[in-house]
Amino acid sequence: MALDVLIVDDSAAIRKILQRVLKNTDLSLGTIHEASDGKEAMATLAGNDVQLILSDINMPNMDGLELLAAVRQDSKHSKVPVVMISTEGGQEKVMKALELGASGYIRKPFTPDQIKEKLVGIV
Amino acid sequence: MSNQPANAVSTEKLVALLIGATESTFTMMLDLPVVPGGYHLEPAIPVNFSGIVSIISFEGSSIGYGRIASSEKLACQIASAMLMTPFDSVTDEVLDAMGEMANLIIGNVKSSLEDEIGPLLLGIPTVISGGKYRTWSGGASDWIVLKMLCGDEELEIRFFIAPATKVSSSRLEGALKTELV
Repeated sequence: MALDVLIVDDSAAIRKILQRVLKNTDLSLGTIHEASDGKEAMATLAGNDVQLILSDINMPNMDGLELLAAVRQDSKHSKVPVVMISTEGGQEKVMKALELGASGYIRKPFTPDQIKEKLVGIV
Repeated sequence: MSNQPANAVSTEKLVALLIGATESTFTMMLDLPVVPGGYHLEPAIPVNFSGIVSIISFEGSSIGYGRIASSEKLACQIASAMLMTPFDSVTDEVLDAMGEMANLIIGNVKSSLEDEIGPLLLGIPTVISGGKYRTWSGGASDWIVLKMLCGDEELEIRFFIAPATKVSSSRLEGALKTELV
């Protein structure tokens, strides 16, 4: 089954990098959606089904942790794996993300292999 | 997690964190070589510049700024490596890549400092480009000015941090001025 993915990051550069990394994995990909903040991500999720979300934390309007909490409350996407990808590497932030239901946490900067290895365990 | 004041972190440690964050960003995200080119401390004085400057602030128990500056040539090189697309002139994508460089480098330093000085909130990068301009940054403490060498090009990283009790947020907002020369 093709995997539809939502990439959420306020940096267009990071969204492009993650798209490229995803396309270089063995995953059978469907549509890759993009959003530049949590609010835009929730609007995308309202109209689309996805099977994986990759999200930054520090974003305007609605940050990644707020998005994560909202996704876990969303009846359609509450079980979708959400992987946080962020420069925030402090233990407190990581624990908070995991408590809110993050499926994984990757610290920026990252190598493509780190993303791939994390996704193999999750998807 | 302790909440030591920012001045409990030595200049040498801050420089080491800046170098480490820059090296890991260049290695992991760009696959470009970079080496430290030395650092010095500088008071808040106007600095003339022509190129690309990316600025990001943070606040919490301490407040401060990080500023990443490069020539247009290096900025294009960085964007080309990051996005695996050739850029021979500055476009919105190049500016976005430089904004992300500030986020990656200063964001990593911020995260490393949090274990010692408490939680810090990172802002959103601002990127300035085009023409000759002058920047001036306020604050009583000296700025760390670190040079990182990437081939023939130089990336300059300026970093300032002070305990929140010493510099109020409102003063910091007006402390960074940029004007065309």
